[in-house]
Amino acid sequence: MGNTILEVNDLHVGFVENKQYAPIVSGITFSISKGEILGIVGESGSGKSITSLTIMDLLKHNGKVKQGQLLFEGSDLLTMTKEEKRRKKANEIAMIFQEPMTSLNPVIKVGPQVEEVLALHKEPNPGEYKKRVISMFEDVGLKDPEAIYGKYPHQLSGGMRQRVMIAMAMILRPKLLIADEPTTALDVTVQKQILELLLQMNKKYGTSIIFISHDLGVVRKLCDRVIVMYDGAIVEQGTINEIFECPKEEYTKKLLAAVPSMRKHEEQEEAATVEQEEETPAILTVKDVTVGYTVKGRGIFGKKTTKTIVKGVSFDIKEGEIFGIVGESGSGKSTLSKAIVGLTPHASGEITMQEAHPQMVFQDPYSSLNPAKTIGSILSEPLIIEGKLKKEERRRKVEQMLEEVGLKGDYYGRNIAKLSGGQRQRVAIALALMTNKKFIVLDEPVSALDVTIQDQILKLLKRLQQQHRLSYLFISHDLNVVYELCDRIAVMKDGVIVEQGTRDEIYYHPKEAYTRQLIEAIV
Amino acid sequence: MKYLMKKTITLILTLLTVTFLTFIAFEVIPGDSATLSLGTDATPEQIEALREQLGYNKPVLVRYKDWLCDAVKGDFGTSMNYNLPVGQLIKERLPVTITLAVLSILLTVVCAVPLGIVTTRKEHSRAEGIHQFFIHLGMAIPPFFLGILITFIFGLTLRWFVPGTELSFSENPSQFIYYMIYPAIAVAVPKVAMMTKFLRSSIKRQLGLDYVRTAYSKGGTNRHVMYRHVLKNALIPVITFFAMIVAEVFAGSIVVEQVFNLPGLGRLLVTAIGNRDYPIVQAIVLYIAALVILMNFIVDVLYQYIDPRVKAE
Repeated sequence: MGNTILEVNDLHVGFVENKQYAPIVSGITFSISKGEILGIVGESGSGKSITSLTIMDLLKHNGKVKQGQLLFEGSDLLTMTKEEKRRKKANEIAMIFQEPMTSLNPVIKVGPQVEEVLALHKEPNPGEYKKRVISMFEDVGLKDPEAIYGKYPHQLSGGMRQRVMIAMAMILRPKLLIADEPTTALDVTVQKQILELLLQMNKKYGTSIIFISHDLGVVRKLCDRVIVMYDGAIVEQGTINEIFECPKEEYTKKLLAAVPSMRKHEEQEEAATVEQEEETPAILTVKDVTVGYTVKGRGIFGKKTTKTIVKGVSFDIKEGEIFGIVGESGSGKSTLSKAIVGLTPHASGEITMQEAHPQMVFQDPYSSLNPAKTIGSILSEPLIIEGKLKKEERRRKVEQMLEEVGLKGDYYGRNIAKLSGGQRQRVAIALALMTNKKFIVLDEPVSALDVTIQDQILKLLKRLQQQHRLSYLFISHDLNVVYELCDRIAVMKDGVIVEQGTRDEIYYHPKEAYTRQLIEAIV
Repeated sequence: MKYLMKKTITLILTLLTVTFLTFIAFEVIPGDSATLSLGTDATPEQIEALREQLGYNKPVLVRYKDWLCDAVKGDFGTSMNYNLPVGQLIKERLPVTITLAVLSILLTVVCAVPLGIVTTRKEHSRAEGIHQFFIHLGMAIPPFFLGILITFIFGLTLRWFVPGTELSFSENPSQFIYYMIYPAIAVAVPKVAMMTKFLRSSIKRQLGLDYVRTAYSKGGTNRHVMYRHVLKNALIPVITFFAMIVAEVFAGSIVVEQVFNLPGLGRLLVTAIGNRDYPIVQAIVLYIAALVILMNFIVDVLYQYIDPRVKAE
């Protein structure tokens, strides 16, 4: 095993709370060879992130390694002194994180933040440090590296920050790089670039990479071997082909089946979508709508300036149709949805709807529902505002609705704070349906969820839509999810609709270069 | 630079508004100084004559202008009670208040910043409970009681100073400053406790953030992470809080001045309010308001240097 760089033997990690040990990772064993890219996939709570944090010695104070070995080039990281471990970090084992927005210190320029890695490890020639940082910036594909050196994190885009993070991790040419969901927070086109950069680093410097992700598509594209984790244990491991082509375990099969993917459907007939009859009345018509924010300058004399986010957008949604809007962050898709619901006033253009006050389901089920309330009281609220039903009738209706969104049992009196993300999103959907509205705006309703949960929610949305002949405006950055659900799609970029058409037109015969670029970036 | 210009203009405008409001407020209060100084026996003619003499019959805006011009020159009128220029009265008391303020601010910073850091370090250990106890004790203890306690321990028992001594800065500066340390402690203790608590929670919040994890992943030591990364971020919210303390302390501490027999601004204000000596009250209100506004201005400017994101907005 002279080729092995890291060997994890029977690792048990957990958290100690109230003197009680709660296991998170229970007895995992795996290894990674020199120059290999190993993927670890699993849903939230599977222990994949805790494993990587244990290797990096970054566990929170209540994290505890109960037993096991972490053999890095033959010596056990767990028995080393703190100082020995510290010297290994960045020098031999480095890590990049999910959130490039928050992973850098906001009040220090990015150049010095990378440079301090050199100082911390007492590299020779302090005079050369800056030069080394700049050449590393160039290496990770940052244009104008000298200017980037003097920039603060907030002045850079998400993709650029992730490149800075990679530069920081790679500057001492570590033997092992741990990448914890490094592309999850990024747009598809940027994601593709970052993955290519990681691959390039792997080839150029022979760095082994542990790539942690919930996104099976990305793992398939990048990794040589993959480990599937569930509930703190390894369910299955093998080469990419073994896992993706002939998975042995039930869980792996389930995970693979849950992944929404246009590629999966490619062989199927293209005309699967329901043909819309021309006569179907429109439930929503958006005509030449422009939305902007007024930005007030600071101080008493701060000038008001208008920043246009959505520029002259037109489309309509027919009854019983699911209309998707895809676009990268900053494309204006969320602002447009807020204008439609009436949360933001639109500057010009017309929005006409069959019924007033459409309901909306938001992206983050953790922050969009008041955690201090019970499910019953949240769901009763729209009925109280409507003022039509008596108390008992309201309760009956809420319970009926809960059952419909798949929350059977005594959920009425339960507290929101105790629910999982998927359950919360079900509550949010129930809330949107409470007043029998036919049109619902869904703003990235599944992006914060695990794949299997995501799959359940998408199925629920589809079932409800068919049962009640609902219309959805579905906003997402995830082209695979949109493919799975939507009948017609509009592609937005920089506040305008670049292209719109039926699903198959957009995915199989895109006319615009930007649409093609998006479709090609799908993994 | 543009930012600084804008801030300065805002500062001047706010100051003008505050001075005008201060002036108007004392216009609205019934019973002017003319009536007061002549007493209830005065004939209406006498009052009228004095009003004329004091310029009370001119239009409000003209008088505001006159008052403002005089105030800029340091002339706040004459105190009814002391029959002395208000400017002089304030000037006499300023050394006491300023010395007390500067000493207590120094004490606050010197104690609170290290305490904030050390107590976060000792989190999750038994010491945490002890720290909490002292922080809450410090916040809860009334300054006058603390003053009495200090007088009793250091003055009467240990005899390190003589309580109630009347000293002046110009005659014996070192003696004066030494004496002032004791009241400064009385003023500073609650502030230290509050600021430690505030800084502590700010540091704690920062320690949970992603960039701290990044800093550790680079191989940073605890020291490095705390002083290079966390502290600067943690101090950002504390600065606003600190500026409030500074403004408050410079306005004079009535209770502590009373306990230690110090002729400071706080006592002057209380006496003046009791005597309806409006020119003094007016001047001190103006001083406090100007101080608060100025501190806010300084904070705004400081923010720009500490937090680069402020400039971007």
